[in-house]
Amino acid sequence: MIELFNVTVSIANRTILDNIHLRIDKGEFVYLIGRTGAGKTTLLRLIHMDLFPDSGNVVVDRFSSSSIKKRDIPLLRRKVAVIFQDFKLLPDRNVFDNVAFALRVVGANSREIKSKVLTVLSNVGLHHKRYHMPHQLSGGEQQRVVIARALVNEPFILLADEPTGNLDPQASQEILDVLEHINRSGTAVLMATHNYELIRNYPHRTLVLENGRLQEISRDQFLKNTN
Amino acid sequence: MRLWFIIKEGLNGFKRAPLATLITILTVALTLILLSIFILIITNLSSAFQKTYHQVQLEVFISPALTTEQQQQLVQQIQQYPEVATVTYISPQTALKKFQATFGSDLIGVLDENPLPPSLEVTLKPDVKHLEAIDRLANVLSTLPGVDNVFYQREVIHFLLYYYRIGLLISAVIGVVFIVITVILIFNTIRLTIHGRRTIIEIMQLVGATNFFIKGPFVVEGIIQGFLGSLLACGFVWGLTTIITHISPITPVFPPYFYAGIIGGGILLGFIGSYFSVNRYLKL
Repeated sequence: MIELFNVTVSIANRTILDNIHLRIDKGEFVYLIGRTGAGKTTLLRLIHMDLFPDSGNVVVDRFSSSSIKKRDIPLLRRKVAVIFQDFKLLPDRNVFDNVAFALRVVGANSREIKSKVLTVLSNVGLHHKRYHMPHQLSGGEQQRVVIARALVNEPFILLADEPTGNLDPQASQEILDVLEHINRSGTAVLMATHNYELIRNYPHRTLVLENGRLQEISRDQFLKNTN
Repeated sequence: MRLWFIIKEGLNGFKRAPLATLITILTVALTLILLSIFILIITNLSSAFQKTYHQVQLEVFISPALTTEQQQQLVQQIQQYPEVATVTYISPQTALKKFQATFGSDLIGVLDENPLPPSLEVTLKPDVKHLEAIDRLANVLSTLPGVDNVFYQREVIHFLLYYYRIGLLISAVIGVVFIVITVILIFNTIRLTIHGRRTIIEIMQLVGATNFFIKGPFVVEGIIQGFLGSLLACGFVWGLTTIITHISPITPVFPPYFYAGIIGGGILLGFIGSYFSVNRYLKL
């Protein structure tokens, strides 16, 4: 579903990703760990086709970085959702409208919008707060709204770039519970994080990005390295 | 649904950033007012020149011996020249009346007879604005049979044409500068408004909106801002020219489709300004 072949990316004469290979299958949950500046965000941007490799190829579903046309990138982004640690919510719209916005901009009709938004808000546990404004929500709730917005177009993968970076431990755990729930319903998740303590309790395939190289580590290695 | 969303979002922009919208509309209005006043000044100066220039004429003195038929033939012949607008026959009696009306003296009383010859008053077409062309015409006319002499105020024509050309050049330069300033001011104001709402553009890109869908609301907003600004400008200019007409003997001359042009210009600037400003924030 997602495959990176011999991908190399340099930014300002510094090699960020060096000959990376990666495959993520449908419905997988994958952690991407590494120090700040290791290139985790760069890798996510490649999959979102916000950035293109200097060499190699990124294949996401039926799209390939070497041949994708500009006009097809929005179509890809409807199926590859992304969330960040900063919430990027529209402060002048309530929870429902923030989530519905993602459907409105792709031309969905009112009935479809209402039904999908209410479903996705239920999935992230915010149905009862659908008329709240963003400033009336906690950080964890705001992040859940962002997740709902990312999911409302029914992507096959959710890219989460440090989604708990701005949250306290309790809210972080809630977000991870939501991500687990999403994953169980069939959406793949690729989560970049350096919150090792948090992911310890949620074991999944783990990739380490270090010095531009990507390496998969076992659970035992992860526990050993992060102790 | 899609088009309705674009229009609704565009209109909502006014509610979401009322101050920025008001500033943009006022900037459009102010710059268009300045541009309109400049256009009106140039139009009226040009119209005043045309009126003065139209009074410039060649006086073709003809032989008193010509019969009426020969005079008519000569009039028709002169009328054929492309530079000529009108040819009017002035009889010695008419010339005398004109002389007396101008100078107030009784010529017959002094000389016992009318010394003024018959003549033809030749006016030029407005597009004849080269002294060389007028000289050439005068030379040709003076060689026609029956023509005794051709007189025209060469120095006055030279003076008028010289200052007309300088005026034209200066107004063209100022006009270009004005238009550039107008465009830059309006563009920057719209850009600032859009910069304040870049998050919404970022979110639209994240969730897979097409560029057309992202630009749409901003372009609608820009067009409405341009339209409202140009309406304000038209209202101001209309009020100003009405007051001038009432309190002074000047009746301002408007170029054709003046108000339509201002409104069209405002809409166009709003459209182009918003279109290119959003482009800056589109990474695709």
